[in-house]
Amino acid sequence: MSSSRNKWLLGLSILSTLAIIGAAVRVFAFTPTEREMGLVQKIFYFHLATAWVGMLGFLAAGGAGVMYLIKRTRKWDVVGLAAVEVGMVFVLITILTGMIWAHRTWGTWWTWDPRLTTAAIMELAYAAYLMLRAGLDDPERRARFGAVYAIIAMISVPMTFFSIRFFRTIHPVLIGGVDPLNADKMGMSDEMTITLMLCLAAFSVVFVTLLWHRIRLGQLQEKLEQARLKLAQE
Amino acid sequence: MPPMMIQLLAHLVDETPETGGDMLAGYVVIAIILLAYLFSLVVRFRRARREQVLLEHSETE
Repeated sequence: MSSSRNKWLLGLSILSTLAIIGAAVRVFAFTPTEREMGLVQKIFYFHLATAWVGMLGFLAAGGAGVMYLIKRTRKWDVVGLAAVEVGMVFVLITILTGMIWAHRTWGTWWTWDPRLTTAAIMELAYAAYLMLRAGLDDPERRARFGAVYAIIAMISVPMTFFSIRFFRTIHPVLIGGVDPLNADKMGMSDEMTITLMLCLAAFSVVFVTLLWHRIRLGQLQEKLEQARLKLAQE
Repeated sequence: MPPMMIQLLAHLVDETPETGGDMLAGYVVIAIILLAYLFSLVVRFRRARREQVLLEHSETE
C-alpha cells in the first residue's frame, strides 16, 4: 500500500479513536438521563449506532457480492469478506448490549421478540457465510459461493430493520411502528437526539476504519494464497 | 471471556443498577469486543507478514 494511503489510514484510525472517546464523553457527561429507564438507557446510543453500522456492513457485503459476480475480480471478494466480518463484530455488540438493557427494563436477558429473533437470525446467517468459506479450498469457487450467499443473506437485514414496524413488539420503536401503544416510545429530547446522531457518525467512522484495515489484511492473505498456489504448482 | 470477568459483569448488572453498574457493564462489553477484534487483526497481520517473508525467502532460494 502506498505511503499516502498509509497516512490516510493512520489519520482515520486516530480520528476513530477520538470519535469513540468523544461520543462516550458526550453520552456520560452531556446527555440527560432518561426518566423512566435511568442510567441503563445510556447504552441505547451505542446499541443503536452499532446496529446501524453492523447492518450497513452486511449490505456492503451484498453489494460487493454483486460486484464480484459482475466483474469477477477477487478484490470484491476481499471487500465482501471484510464487510461481513466487521459487520458481525458490530451486530454482536448490538445483541449483547441489548441483552444488558433488556435485563434491566424487561426483567429478562432474552425474549423471542421479532426484533431480537431476526437480529439473531441475521448474525447466525453471516456466521454460516464464514463457515461456508472455510469449507471451500478453491479460491474462485469460494469467492463465487460467498458472493451468492452474501446476496441472499442480505434479505435478513431489511427483515431485521422492519420487524419492529410490521409486527407487534416490546422492543422500543424510535420512528413509527404498527402498535400505537409502542410507537415513538423513545420520546427523546433534543440533546438525546444530538447525542444519538454523534454516536452514529462516530461509529460510522470506526466502521470505515476497521473495514479498511480488514481489507488490507485480506489483500495480504490473497497475495500469500496466490504465492502458495504458485509454489505448489512448481 | 474468562469466567471471573463474566461474574464481574453479572455483578455489575444485578447489584448496582442504581449507580449505573449495568450501563458500565454494557460499555465494558463494547470495549472488550472492539479491542479483541483489533487484537485479532494485529495478530493475523503479523502472522501473514511472517509468512510473506518466509515465502519470499523460499522463492529466492
